[in-house]
Amino acid sequence: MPPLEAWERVLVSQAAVSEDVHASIPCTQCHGGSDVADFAAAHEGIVVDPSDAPSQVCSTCHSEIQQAANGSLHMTLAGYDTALYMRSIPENHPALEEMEANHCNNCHATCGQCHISQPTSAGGGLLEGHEFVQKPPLTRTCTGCHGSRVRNEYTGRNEGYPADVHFAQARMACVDCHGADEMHGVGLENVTHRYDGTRTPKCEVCHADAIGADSTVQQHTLHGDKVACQVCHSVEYKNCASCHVQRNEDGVRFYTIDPSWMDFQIGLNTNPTEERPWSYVLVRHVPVDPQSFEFYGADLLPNFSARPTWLEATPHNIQRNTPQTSSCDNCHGSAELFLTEGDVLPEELGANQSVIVRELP
Amino acid sequence: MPIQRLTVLAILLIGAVALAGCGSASGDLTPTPATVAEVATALAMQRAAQDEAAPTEQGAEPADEPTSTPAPAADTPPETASESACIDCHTDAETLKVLAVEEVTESLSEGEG
Repeated sequence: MPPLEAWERVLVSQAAVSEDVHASIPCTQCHGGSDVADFAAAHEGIVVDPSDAPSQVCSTCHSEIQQAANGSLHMTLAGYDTALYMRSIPENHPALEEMEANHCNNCHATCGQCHISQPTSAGGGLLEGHEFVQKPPLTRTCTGCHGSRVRNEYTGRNEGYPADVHFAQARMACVDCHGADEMHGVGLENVTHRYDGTRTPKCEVCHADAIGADSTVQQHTLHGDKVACQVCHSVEYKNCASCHVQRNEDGVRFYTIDPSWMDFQIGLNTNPTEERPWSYVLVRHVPVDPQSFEFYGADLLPNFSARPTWLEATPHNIQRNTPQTSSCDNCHGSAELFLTEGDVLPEELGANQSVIVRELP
Repeated sequence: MPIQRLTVLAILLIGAVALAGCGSASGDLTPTPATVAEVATALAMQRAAQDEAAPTEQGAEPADEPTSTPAPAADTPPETASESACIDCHTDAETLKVLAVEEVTESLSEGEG
């Protein structure tokens, strides 16, 4: 998304102050500060993002949504804790929390960062002059955080790889599949991982006639509960490694990361459930190594091998026809498509034992 | 049969009034104006409470005395905020170009985030 000038980020539209349903609420009611002409006095105590304080403002009218959203991964970022704490020990949690506060938490999405402005991690700035946008736009909100992987895959920005068919042909936006309940975490409690709870979205919602026992597609009846849809209908996707975070002598936060690479690896499903019964899923290398956070302390991830570095993924580059769908032999007996020991760094073999495929189907 | 005619006319009149009432109620029950009314009432009461705390001339009625706020019709624009200094500045692009200062942050990160 193009960066906004400082003035553009705070420019309020006439529609926002006259037509939007929230126009009846005085600015200072949510943002604090004072309604005076003096710049400094007006901004004394100003709250840039009032929705950053859960249930302070939005819940007045949207209490049910706010209550659910407070526990959602968008709000809590609990998925980070799940990944980090599994690889660590309680004594290291304070150091990791300091690291998260400095490097991770700006992806924490408040109500306002989806419905009023661009996310802070994408530079912020009002979306429609402070009008409240019911459906967050793909290009300016969702992909502000889900950019280098989801956006580039979905919109075909990885050179040589096609855009997702749902984007290229149907021009579908994120919210066309990922509905409000899913985004707000409605119906979920104590969610700690993005694949917790009911599987959403489900391909079969739209493709009901093509999936399931009554499907007329033979390959679907043969493979339906054995492989995730992406195993056959995705193409190569982005993988990352070795993100290291630190601060310089002035306290400026920054990271370094190895170059990403495009890859396609089928691994074992480490947690088959009724919702996700498959034996095989796609796995993506995540950008962590044992020294990723050493700026904040030595050996902060002593249990590094407790969690795979190749993790289940759902690439957003779905195609009807892929190399896998062209013939049976393209998958069966095709070692290069499966995550084997040879694909894993020696120092990460211990972490990935549960996902490595040993017998090719 | 004047009585029968009157009865028929009365029934027709009642029916017409009932139908008109249904139409009006349907418009008033759309969630948006109701929400607006609730918010407006809550804010009016809050402002009134603030005004009560401030000294006023004896006998003079507070300007924001809370009253039962009627729900606006569906096609009525919402009541706009009373604050003007914030809005005057933040809707004026030229003013903002002068006042909005870019925070300079050093970008040291390397590679895709």
